[in-house]
Amino acid sequence: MNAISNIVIGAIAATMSAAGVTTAALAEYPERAVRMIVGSVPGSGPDVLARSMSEELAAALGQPVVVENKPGAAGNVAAAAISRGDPDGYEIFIGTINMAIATWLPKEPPFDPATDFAIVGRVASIPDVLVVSPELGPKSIEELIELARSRPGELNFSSPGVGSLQHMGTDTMATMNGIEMVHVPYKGGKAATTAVLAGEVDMFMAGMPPAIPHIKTGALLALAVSSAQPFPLLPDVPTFTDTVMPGYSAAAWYGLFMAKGTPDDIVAVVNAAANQALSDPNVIERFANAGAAVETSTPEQFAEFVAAEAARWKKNLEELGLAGTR
Amino acid sequence: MAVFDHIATGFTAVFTLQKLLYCFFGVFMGMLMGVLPGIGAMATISMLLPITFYVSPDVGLIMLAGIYYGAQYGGSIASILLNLPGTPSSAIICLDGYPMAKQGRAGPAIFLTTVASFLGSMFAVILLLTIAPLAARLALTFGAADYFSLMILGLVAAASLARHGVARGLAMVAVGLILGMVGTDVTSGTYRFTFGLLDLADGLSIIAMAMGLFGVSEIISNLVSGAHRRRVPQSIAFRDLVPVKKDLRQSSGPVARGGIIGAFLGILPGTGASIASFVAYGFEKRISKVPGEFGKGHVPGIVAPESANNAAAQAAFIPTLTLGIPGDAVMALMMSALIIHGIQPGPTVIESHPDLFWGLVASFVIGNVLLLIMNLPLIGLWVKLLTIPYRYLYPVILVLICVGVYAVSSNVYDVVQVFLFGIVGYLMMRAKLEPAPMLLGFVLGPLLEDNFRRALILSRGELSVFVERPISLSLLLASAALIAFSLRRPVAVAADGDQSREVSR
Repeated sequence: MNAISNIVIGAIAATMSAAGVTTAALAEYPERAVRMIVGSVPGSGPDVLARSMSEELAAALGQPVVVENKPGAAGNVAAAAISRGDPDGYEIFIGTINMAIATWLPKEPPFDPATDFAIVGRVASIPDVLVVSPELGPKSIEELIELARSRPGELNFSSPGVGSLQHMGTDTMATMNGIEMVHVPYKGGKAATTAVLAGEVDMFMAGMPPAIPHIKTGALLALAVSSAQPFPLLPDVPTFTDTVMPGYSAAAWYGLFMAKGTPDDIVAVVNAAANQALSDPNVIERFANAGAAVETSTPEQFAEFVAAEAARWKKNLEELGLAGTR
Repeated sequence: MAVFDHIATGFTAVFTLQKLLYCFFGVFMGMLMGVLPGIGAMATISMLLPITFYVSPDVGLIMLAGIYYGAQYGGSIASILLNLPGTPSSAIICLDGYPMAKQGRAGPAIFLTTVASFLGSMFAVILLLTIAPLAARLALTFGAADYFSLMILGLVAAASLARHGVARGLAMVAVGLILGMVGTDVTSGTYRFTFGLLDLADGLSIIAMAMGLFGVSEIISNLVSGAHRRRVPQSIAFRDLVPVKKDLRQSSGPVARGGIIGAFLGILPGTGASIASFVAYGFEKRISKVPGEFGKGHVPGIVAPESANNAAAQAAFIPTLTLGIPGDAVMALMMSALIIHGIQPGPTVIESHPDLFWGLVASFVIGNVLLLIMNLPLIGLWVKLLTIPYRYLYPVILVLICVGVYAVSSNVYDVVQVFLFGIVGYLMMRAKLEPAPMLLGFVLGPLLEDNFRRALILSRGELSVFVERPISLSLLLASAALIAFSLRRPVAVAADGDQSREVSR
């Protein structure tokens, strides 16, 4: 009897103190420096965005923000670690679309992007742009499709890796237009862009950051973008959906995630601070220089979006026979 | 002449107090971080990158660049003193630098590598001033087949790295090639030998491998053999810190050849300073009249790779700035810094931002002179490090290694790798198996395989692509010539009587 009541009292006390800790944490969050985790090497796309907004985010949170790189498996080493981390709000992960793609490649997915995180909000989106060398000939996406159709199996396209957004996008374009091309994977977007510059491959459906400097200098010709509307940084380039891929739109997205179980109040604080930082003209300009358009959201909007993306790319990888193969 | 205009533009642009201060700060930080094991240019630059948001892009770039080539200077110091490569590209310096330190010649070794660093850098700067845009276009003509043949040439040069016989050397190259297969296969996208560990998806860590195989294994071996109780007296009288005439005479050829090899490999994206230093060493040993002396404290064995890795570090700016193609991860970071500032690296950058481009080149000259001036008086101090009792020195080194390796990836798993490779390295040492060929196999392996398979995808399976492309063919012929050259005059027992051996115990 005594033992049981002790357990009951202990349990109540534990519950109360746990609740007390949570409230105290909330009242003071953030009371120390916050770490912003990037899942790839310094200088990579998400790293540039994280560093471009970290100062302004620190100002909005009232605490320093330290950017840390934890590269591996297209960002998913860091993502898996975050989902299992302390739900105290001191680790903010800048997640990418790879969380909704690369996670489905291993036989046992390391996490489910929709359910294993506290989802904070969207940061940016970067559509793909199909680039060719000006010497190839085609001056429009329709001409490129014509060329590919007249020479089945002869044209090469590069990608930053098997199962990447750009690989799947080009594959979808080929299927929708009944053309046949050869996939040449490279290690990362910069190498895949160099391959087009050097004339080693004919085209690359590239992420904006590695391609945009060469589009600006005229070394590469942009034929179409993958966003639903024309992309503000390349207003004259038509969309895929308006030309050769009706109904298709896709973009690499970036957003903030925290450990599963992080209290909603903390998520709300970080969401508000991030949205404030993202409204700073300096941040918007730095993002634009890197080829990214700022996008903000509420935690709920972004959570819904992530769930839809996870389902979409899982299905796409299954159709390509790539899901669960690693 | 245009070159003089460029020099004038550059020096006019760079001679402001702010730029000189940032240049000094950059090279100083770089050198310091290069000396510390594990913390290389990458970690330092990513830590200091935010500073560049508050200054103009040219100033920021001068600082970041200073860190990059400053680290190349510092990297060899720990290799010489402690058999501990500060950066992967200086791992090869251990082979002859550490034996020199054991012979009480740490001072001259650091002196020579410092001067070799300077000369290698200057060679690449001259290249930048004269043929930068041309050199950049050369980089673009390299296709997958050409890279494959280049890697073959690298492996042929490397096979001579072995001290205990070619068979053992080749065996270790093979082990390195196999370890290089761990991780994601680029061509098929599948994971290989990852044992279900996501942390292995990008392969083993080169930094962990270099630190473990060289540094940690050396510490274990010294503790086991009791060598830590016998120490080599190091005189720090100025007379003993400077090289003797013979050292200088032996250095001139290797420094020049190292500079050429380094500058050439530096221009090509994806090769980088590590490969340059390995290839320069291997090449020097191949053509040496006394190949048996290598590995015993032979001067050309430190100056050639040191000249090469500095030339490569400087030449790597050519494709990054003039084509917007970063050669390695550090260059990619540098390029991002420019892009954040709204400067698009590319063929037009020289015309659109002449102050930035030529100012940067001029800052290389100033930065390298600063490094030379800073380093030479410090030699005595570095050598004094060896007088610290090992019971203090070793724990500090091990902690620094852990911090450095962790700083690169924020992943405890990489620290575990350091210690595993440390144990493996010790066992290899006992079995007279050498780490250098293994490390090179590890670096070259993925490049060799990816480019081989990519070349075959592009040629639709035609093997003839490797002999049809002129660049690839000439590289393969050069490999064959190098093999023939060394067969004609086999790697024989060294002629003795070399000064370095007389001093050895």
